[in-house]
Amino acid sequence: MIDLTGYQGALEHLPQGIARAEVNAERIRCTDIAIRDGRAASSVSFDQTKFYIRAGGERLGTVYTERPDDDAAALFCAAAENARWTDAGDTPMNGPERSVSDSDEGENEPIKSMIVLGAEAEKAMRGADIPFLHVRVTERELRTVNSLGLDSFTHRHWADLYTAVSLPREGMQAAEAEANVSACGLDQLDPAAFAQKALALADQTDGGGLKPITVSSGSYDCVMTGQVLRNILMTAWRSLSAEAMQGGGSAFRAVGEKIGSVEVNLVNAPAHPLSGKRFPVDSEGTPMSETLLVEQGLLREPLTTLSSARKLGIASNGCTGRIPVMTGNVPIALTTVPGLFYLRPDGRNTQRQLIERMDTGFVLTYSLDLFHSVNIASGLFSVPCGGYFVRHGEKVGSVSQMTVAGSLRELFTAVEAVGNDLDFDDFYFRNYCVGSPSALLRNMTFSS
Amino acid sequence: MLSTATANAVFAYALRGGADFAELFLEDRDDVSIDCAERINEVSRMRSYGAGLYLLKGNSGAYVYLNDLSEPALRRAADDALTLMGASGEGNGTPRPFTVLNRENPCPVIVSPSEVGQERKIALLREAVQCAALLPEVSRCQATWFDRDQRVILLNSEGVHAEDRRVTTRMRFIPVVSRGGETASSFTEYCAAAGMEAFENGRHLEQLKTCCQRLRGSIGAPEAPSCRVPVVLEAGACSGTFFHEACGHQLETRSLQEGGLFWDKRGRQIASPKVTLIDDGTLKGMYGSARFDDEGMARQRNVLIENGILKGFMADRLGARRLGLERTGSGRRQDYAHAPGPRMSNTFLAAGTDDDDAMIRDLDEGLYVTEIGGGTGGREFTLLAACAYWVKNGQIGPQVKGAILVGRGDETMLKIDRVGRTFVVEQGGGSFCGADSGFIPTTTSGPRMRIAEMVVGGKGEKL
Repeated sequence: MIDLTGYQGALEHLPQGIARAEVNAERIRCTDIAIRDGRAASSVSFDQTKFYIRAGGERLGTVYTERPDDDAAALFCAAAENARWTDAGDTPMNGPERSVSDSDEGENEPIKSMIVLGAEAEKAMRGADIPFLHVRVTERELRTVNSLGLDSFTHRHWADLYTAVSLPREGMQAAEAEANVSACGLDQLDPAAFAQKALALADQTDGGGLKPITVSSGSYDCVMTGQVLRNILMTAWRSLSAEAMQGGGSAFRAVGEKIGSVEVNLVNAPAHPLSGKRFPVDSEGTPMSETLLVEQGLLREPLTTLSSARKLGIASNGCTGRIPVMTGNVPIALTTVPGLFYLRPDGRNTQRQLIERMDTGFVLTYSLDLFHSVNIASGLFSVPCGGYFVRHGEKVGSVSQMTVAGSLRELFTAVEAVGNDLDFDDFYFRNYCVGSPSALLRNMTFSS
Repeated sequence: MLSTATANAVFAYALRGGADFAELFLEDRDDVSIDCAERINEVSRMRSYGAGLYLLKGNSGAYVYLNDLSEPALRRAADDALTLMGASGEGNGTPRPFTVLNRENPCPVIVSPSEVGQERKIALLREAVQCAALLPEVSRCQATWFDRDQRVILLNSEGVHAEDRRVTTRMRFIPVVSRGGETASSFTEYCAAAGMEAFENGRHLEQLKTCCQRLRGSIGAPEAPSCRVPVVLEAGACSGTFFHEACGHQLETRSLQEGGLFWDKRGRQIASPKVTLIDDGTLKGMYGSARFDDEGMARQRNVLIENGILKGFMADRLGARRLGLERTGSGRRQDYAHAPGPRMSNTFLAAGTDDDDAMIRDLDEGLYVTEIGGGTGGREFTLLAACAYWVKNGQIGPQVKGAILVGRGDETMLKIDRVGRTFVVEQGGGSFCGADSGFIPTTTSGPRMRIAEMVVGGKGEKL
């Protein structure tokens, strides 16, 4: 467990003028090995603890340090000094009744085992070009203590394989895809199955080696594969945050609002059997609860923090975290962050059945630019994408350099059927995951 | 942060353990951020402190970072790195004596933000919010202050001892503009490789005003049509960002190792003969400049494309080893928690010979982009047109919204048919580029240019 003895002592005897304080500490130990030719080509390893300190009275200020030996009382004073400048209102904190202690039984994985596993995956992809293939093990401890008596602690292990694969195509652009899989431990990863998945994804990119065609711009039906929908949902979840809705920063406004077809069920959960990542407790020490956010197209409950939940008069569903902005600055502000956010699959439909049902239209197998292509405030998106075209159930040719555009409401409303092939991707900063199966959508706008 | 004797001992230990190169990147960094809208929401101070130990053995590398800078901890880190590399423990190298490298700071600071109180920064934020409030149809504006003081020491087993202090200041604005029930919001940043003096001339407020004007123009604007048309990119960041995404990342050794578009194209034409593209980390006062790269090599000017011919790549130490290239002073990283990688700095398209106005005047129909809101690089690249106008019969028409440009770098660069005469440096001072070695400050600049045809993604009907 992260040692916060010094902080706990200072919390019991807060410096003069400080009414309350909280320490949120996160320790991550991680080893990430890039495999090439059966060996470790490069690797990164670290053991880092980050301390986020809030202190003050009704208003709280924040400081951050990476030095475990920094003086706790001095940090509380520095945070309280920062609070002096703010005009923000009362900031809620969890009390001792929300304390949890939850640790899994994982152990550090031997480096040799990681290399062997990666080499097996590489071997199983023989014949394909492999721009990169990584094996990674991660251990994350999160502990939050405060002057109200909260002491929440969680400890989780997981392991990942991630790769890029490129399949050469005679006289054509290679078919490329990225794939990942995670599990609660290295021994639960199947390198052969992972390799098969990566190769299948790459082969699917251009419909199995179809010749490129151009389809004129216009309105078409489409099957969006999980990769494409995950890319959109990777930013679109923000429109379901209570914080964004309350601040006018979301295209959606209120609980009860119809935002999609009856096939759309969006869930946020702390864990899922298809992912090794787990988010049992948030950065305010609130246990994350599994929440059906959108049920049959109706917005039921947004993602909440203590502050945004209080405004709604409900309990927080444990979605507080910190999102790094795209600048390298240490993220300080507590904001809304999901855990495992996903579109619930429908076990009745395979991807093949969705394509057959579509009859004629695009199968979108990849998309680009997940950071710039969705405007959360307006809900408008224009997503660069590609895949292949199907006419009367027959594959016709591959397509690239296209965009699909619309609004999130139009997207969710256009969903006619959802597939059974749920899979998860990590967000870039690995602090949440997004999942989606394939889905059939009607009448989307394409440019090509 | 660490004595050179300790570093020397750690390097000797690593070389004995089988590494053929060892490096320590030491960082002590202070950041301040202040968030303001109708009120001061948050004032935060951050202290980052740690070291990255980087060992190489042939074409293998291992990077271990830690916060404990004691010799025992660094030796344990070396053990971890040697294990990760599968080193034999039978190395016989010895580290060379350190030589301190001196070089003029291209970005000197007059008034360091750490020397002024928070009052001054808060006053600047309040001034910006008030400035926005006086603009028509602006309903809200969030302004955030950032300053950074990064002290870096780079030591390696080849005897390099480079020290740098990088001070930057930045203000981010998120205005919300409303009219008739329609709302538009976006962000813009004013960045400076300088201290408080960067905010004395009011350019940050001009940038805020331009952003608000662009948002006003977008309200009620028609959606960009989905089409293939000629595209004119305005001088400054627009044309520079085009190259950053269309080929910049593909010319970094990381992409080359992964089978990128241009590995076998050196000496061959990859762009229109009108294109000369340069990456230069030495330019005075520029956001992407510094004395050294993050591997202790002096920054330099790298000609990437000359008259359409591919001339060079951007190489970090490991990439150069693996590909048999010379290093180019391009090894960069966000902080000690990132291994260095090949990255751009200040990337710009050199001025051409075409008439700037004629490239719009001669257009029957097309898109004129005056602001890029970001993009991604790769085999296919994308650019978000944050502000764009529809051009018809040589006349700049209405602002359009929702346009995104898509293309392949190797195809699109050959379609550039005009490069203007007037070179313009990026307004706003720069931005951030994200990749494996983190988010780093960069700039993109150039003259106005035209692409004969690109895919424009949008949702609108023909205009």
